[in-house]
Amino acid sequence: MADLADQEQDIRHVRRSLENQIFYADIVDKYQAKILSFIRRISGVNQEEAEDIAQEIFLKAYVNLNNFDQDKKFFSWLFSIAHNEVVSHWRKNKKRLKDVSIEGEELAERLGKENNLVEEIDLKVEKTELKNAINKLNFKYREVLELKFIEDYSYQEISDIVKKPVATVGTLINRAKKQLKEIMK
Amino acid sequence: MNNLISKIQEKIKTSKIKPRPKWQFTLIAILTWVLLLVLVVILGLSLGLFIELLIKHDIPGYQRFTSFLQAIPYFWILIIGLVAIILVFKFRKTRKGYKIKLSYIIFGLIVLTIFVGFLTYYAGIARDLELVLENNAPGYGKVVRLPQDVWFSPESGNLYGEILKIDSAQQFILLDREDGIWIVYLTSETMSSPRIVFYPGLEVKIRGEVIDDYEFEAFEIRPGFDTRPKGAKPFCLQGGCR
Repeated sequence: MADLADQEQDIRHVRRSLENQIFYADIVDKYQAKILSFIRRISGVNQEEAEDIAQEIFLKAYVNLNNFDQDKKFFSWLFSIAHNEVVSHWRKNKKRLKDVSIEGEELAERLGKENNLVEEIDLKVEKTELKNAINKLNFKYREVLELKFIEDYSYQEISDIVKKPVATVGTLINRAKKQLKEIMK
Repeated sequence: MNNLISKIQEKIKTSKIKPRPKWQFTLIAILTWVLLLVLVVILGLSLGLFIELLIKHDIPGYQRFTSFLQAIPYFWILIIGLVAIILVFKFRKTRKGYKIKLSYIIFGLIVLTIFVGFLTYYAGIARDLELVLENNAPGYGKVVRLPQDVWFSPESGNLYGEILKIDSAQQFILLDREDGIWIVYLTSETMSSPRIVFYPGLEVKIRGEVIDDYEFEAFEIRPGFDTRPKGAKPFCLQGGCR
């Protein structure tokens, strides 16, 4: 119910933004925190750089507002733009970003609470160890873990964001867990 | 945080950024689907053309496999491969395309190509296209191995050409594809369809062996690829004329 109201509000915001760009501020205001934390957590850039990327994301979203499919959730659409932008930024700066430590504390905590993972990984390990392991994860795996365990998105929503079939998303999450397990051994 | 909002608002204002109109997205979507359709048709036509060429080659059984390998238009396959990659890539970029697994898309593409390929072959479209390409497209013979070329390898026992003159029921003169003039000998064991009517100008495929310089003994004679009469008077061989 809350989701539906949220979606209706987003659609209203989009319509108003198309009429007058001033109202686009409402969209930015609503999603900027989420987008910024998403960028920082998966790419390991600093706040300033994250803001630059976020600016690009919101500008691209604005230019493509008419391409937003109202049958889909607005945040999935916005996050799919964010995904593309972060991936492209990551590719351009791969070498520089490789060794950057990511603020994976929250992800480590959530992953630690994940029952299946507790069974899979012997979680007697310290949280910091899990955090370090997350830092070593492949970009694509880190992204799906972030979307699943921090943003709490469903497989369908993640599929819409990363533009991959739902089954592939499932496989990615399983592989991500497996890779984590390997790193932590 | 609010700094980001004002930065974005400022950028939109100063750079006069505007949302792209809806019709542009609709047009792109339509063009994408048209492109996909065209690419599927190209793939299907190529397969139809390949089937047409293979069947047209009409190679004797014992040479069929080698001929099949020779008939494969590798360059064309490379181009078609690239087309297929574009097709898959474009499809995945459509609104719902990413939801389907890559393996399913490839499987679907293969099935669709086979369907269109056989359809164009059986509808005769591939045949017409082959004739058009053969007669009008320069370089076509370099991309694909034409049936005439497949049949023009005297050392392998295949000869292709046009009858210049019929000397007798046992021998005729043949002009090959490289303007070589051959004396072709027929024996009582030479096989030919009773429906063949030999006449100067007729193109024929001959299976046999080279017995001397530009002398060929025919074991079997089949009609050539262009059997349209060229106005010459029919000549019946060994009583096979109807």
